[in-house]
Amino acid sequence: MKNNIRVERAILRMTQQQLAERVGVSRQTINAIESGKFIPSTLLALRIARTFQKQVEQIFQLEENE
Amino acid sequence: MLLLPNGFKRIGWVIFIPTFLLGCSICFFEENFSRWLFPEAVMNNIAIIGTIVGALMIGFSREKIEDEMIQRIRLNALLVSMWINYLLLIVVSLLVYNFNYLIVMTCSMATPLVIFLIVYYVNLYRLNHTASHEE
Repeated sequence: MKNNIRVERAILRMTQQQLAERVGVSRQTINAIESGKFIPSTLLALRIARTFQKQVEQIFQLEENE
Repeated sequence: MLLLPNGFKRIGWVIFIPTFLLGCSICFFEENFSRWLFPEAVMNNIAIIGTIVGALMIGFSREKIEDEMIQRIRLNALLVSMWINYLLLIVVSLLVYNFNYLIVMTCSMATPLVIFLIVYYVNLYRLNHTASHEE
């Protein structure tokens, strides 16, 4: 699964820590999601999308083999 | 979640470290300090109950930020530690017999929790110190 969180954060000039506080998780979780080590729950993905005011599919995309 | 508040972690370490060391010295060095402190039975109880209570407090209290990733890490650590504990117990059961097995049984009261703590903190260390660290 790919995600655009880093890009979206850069657009809003938001740090990982700020995003983490907004969605209610730790900075390490945001780091792990961005680097593909952790797949967020539906709730967390929706919260992240809401923070960026985008749809979930614009932030997270399934890859070909998934 | 049946987790204790975060404050219990520190209390847990304060209880666990001395009682665990006491337990090791009773089990492996037959030194229970009953000459200087309480009678033998009391020292045995302090060792085992303190180790268990301390380890429970450390392992099963909330992190400062309790989120889904930490919950997954904790769950995986529980699974892995159960595997390690029981595989180790099987191997040791095949190697140790007669009265010595009493020591194995005594240790196996605490090993599930202790192994869980080791696996959990190794995973946390790896999480916090991997290369892709940013901002």
